[in-house]
Amino acid sequence: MKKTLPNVYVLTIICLVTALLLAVVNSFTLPVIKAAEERAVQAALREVHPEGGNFTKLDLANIDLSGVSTEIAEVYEASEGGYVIKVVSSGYSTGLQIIVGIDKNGKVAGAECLASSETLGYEKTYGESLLGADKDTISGIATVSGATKTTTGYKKAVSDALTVAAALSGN
Amino acid sequence: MEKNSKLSIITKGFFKENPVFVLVLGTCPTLATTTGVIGAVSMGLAATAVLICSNLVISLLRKLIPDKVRIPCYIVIIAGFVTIVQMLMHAFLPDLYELLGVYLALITVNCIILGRAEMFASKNSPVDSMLDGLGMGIGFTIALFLMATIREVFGAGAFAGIEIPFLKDHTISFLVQSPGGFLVFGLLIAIVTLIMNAQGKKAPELGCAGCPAAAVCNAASGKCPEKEEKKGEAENA
Repeated sequence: MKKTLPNVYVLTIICLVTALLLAVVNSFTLPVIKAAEERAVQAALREVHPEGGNFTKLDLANIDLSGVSTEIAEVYEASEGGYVIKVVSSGYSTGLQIIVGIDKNGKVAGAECLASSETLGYEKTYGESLLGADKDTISGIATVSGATKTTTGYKKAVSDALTVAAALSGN
Repeated sequence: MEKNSKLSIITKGFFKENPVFVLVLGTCPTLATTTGVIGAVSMGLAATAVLICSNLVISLLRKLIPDKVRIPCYIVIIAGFVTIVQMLMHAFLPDLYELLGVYLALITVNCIILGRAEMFASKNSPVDSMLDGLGMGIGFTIALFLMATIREVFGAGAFAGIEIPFLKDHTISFLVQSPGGFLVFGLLIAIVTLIMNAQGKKAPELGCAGCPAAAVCNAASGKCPEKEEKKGEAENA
């Protein structure tokens, strides 16, 4: 028992010092990371719905999310009609964040990946193949062979965003 | 003399004990991040920063860390530095952070870092350990750069994202895929071995002590499974 105590003390002290160092670094990097993410979100909103005008964030508690299997993280209403919806889906890994712009006619105006842990990079370009799709035609768009999990998760996210937009606009 | 030995600690990682082509450590990130030169060099520099810092701290604490818990201690120290590098890159170099993706966090389990902690930093002075980390890190970066250059130039017809006339229309796309990575990796190991043989040098035989998993297998108790197996074979014969 006496022999194992120093082992426990040393490991505990190393863990505590490491945690302290990480907390210090986190305290000055987190605000920078959050600000950069916010800028990326604003830029992405305009990127996926260029004709949307100004965007207003909607309260998720007031939105009907039935029939949606992915996580709807944020919904923005565009002043010129349409919506921008941020969805968290899963591809090869969890945390596939997709932002989808839907125009006033209920069609995909743009889709981009905000963050992912995918390894092949198909999530960066797959959104282009979904442009112009609506909730009836999206199921006919093919996934990418060799990146099936990533692109299926991506398509599911866009499909759910279209469902939410249709519910919001009463279609 | 002292100056020469310090210099040799740094330079041995470049070629004679190159972690990738001679010690064959860190194969996963080598294959995964060498599809492009920018990603490869970034990975090399991030790993170098972690190597230098972790080697320094492990060397400073080498007399305080009990033998039985040394591997968990090393892992905590290495993971701490990797997370710090990850946070700093996320905040100040977001493009590179996105480019490296999951492989940045995986530096924690990079065999080169744990291998150098076990083989060098735990037995040598802080300055020597830092120099070893620097040399091995540069060796790792050189290896990644070489592989990425071959794969990107011939596989994608570009260098660091800049397209090369003629080659961009005649790419061997197989090279930027996983099998191409293995092929280039094998060829470069063969070339390095040929050069070493021509110079009359032998690759260092590190045996069990050189294996990052040595501490968790029988080697820790002085029984090398490899040697035990050979001994058993000899007895049976």
